[in-house]
Amino acid sequence: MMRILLAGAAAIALAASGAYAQPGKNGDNGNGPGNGKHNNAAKVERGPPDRGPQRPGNNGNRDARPDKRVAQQPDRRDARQNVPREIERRVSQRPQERAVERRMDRRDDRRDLLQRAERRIERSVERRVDRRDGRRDVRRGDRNLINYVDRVRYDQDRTFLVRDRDRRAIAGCPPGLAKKYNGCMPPGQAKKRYDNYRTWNGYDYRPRLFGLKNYSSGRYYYDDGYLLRPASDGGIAGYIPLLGGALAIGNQWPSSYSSHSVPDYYVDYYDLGPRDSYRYADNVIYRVNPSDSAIQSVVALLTGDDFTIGEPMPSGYDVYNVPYPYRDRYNDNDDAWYRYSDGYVYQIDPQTQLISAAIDLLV
Amino acid sequence: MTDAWKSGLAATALVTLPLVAACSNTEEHTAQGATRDDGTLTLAAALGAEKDLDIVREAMDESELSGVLDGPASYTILAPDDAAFEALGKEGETLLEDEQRPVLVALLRDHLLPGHLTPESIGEAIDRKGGPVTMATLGETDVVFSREGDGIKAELEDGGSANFAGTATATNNGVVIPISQVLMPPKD
Repeated sequence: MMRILLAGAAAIALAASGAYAQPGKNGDNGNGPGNGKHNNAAKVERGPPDRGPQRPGNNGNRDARPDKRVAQQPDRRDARQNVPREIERRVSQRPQERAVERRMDRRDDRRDLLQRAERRIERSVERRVDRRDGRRDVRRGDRNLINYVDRVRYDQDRTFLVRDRDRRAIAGCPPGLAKKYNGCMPPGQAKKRYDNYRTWNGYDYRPRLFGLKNYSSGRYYYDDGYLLRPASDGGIAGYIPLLGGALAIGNQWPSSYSSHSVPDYYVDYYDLGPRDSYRYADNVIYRVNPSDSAIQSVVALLTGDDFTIGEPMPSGYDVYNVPYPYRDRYNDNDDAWYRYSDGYVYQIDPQTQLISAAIDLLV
Repeated sequence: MTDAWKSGLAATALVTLPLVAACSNTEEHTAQGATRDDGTLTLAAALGAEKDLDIVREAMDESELSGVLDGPASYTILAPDDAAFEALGKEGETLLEDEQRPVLVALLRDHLLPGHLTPESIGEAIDRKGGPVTMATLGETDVVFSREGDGIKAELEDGGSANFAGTATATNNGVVIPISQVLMPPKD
């Protein structure tokens, strides 16, 4: 089934972009950057014409049943290749009609699943190509063609992460809390309230606990979906809206909470749409309703880790972690290691441990 | 399973019961330790198919991070099994309350890693380095992997630890690795 699925995906991708790289995890197909690695230190590699993962939606793939019988085989690739033949053989050998019918039904189910998956892939590819045609230089050439983007472009694309690090608590009292308590709480009352506040499991509420690395340390309180910074007089000096709290789905984006535009690459990679349909802040990308800024979903969590070409790889990437569809092409070897972070695959020189190139993962 | 977890999961259990039953009837279990590779699944679908991961799936839904598991980016989730959440007791139950949702989100972010990490690739990295290896999380701190007996241990820096437990599933947008404990963040 997997082989057929991939073949279908290949046909669609070829039609759309003239190129395709087979996902999977076995072996290197020889299309990697190869010798060019050491010469590309100041370049961003425009990735292979691979497709990103399918996005079947929440419900679609819950219907999808993995072919676990095949997945149990020691050599999974061989097993996948033999699936159709094996199924047919078993069907023809079964003496009982009911058993045959059951297997035929199962095969029909798989065929339906395959057709649905192909339609999803086709729609996804069409959507991406349509959107990119007007804005980006879409290459439709040889699958082995490596397109480079200047390092300056890469550095520019990462400036939103740098800008986002310059954050501090929003001054004043959060609007919801001001309304709840009929205005910002007077200093004395606030101190009394928070002195009795019970934290979860004995944890101090601090920005880093919530994955917020861009704020000063010190004492904070939590209330009504906000992290609150106490003032020296016992009142509230500032606040930080929290993911899952003030930034829960359905809530309006707080106008005082600054959001940054992300580069076109991220717009395409995360399928974000127009500028007013998303927000980015504190390493989280949200989808919002353009008409009323209501948060609709959390699209992605970013590490915000600093990958600079020509510089050492940041700590915390000791393990090979390239996404599924790209593991054939970007496989660790003696000449290059590959690590994934925030939508890019980075090529690392194993000897120097320096980042030699960044690779984008779009069609 | 405690009452709060039960009530929170009742609806989910009804939905997933037929799926679990179907799986157990038609499939053999992959040997523990060998990652099950299925590129037709997303992370969300893989979580939905695992019978011992009901609570973490519910927690992901409650935290409103489910969209991340169905998105284009690749993540690895260290998924505490149901027994791990139950071991949190009363404090754990409060995580499903709306008031504590940011804390639940924070806790889950420490269990999410960027990219596609299989237990095999983690083991290879440990062997190649000759000792523990470190990976970033989407939360407060890094996670350190090391060998413990025949298995692999995951430990948050200055925080909790857990062992890999059960079969990992590799999907088209990441990997689900069941673990035996909830990884508690450092206290300060």
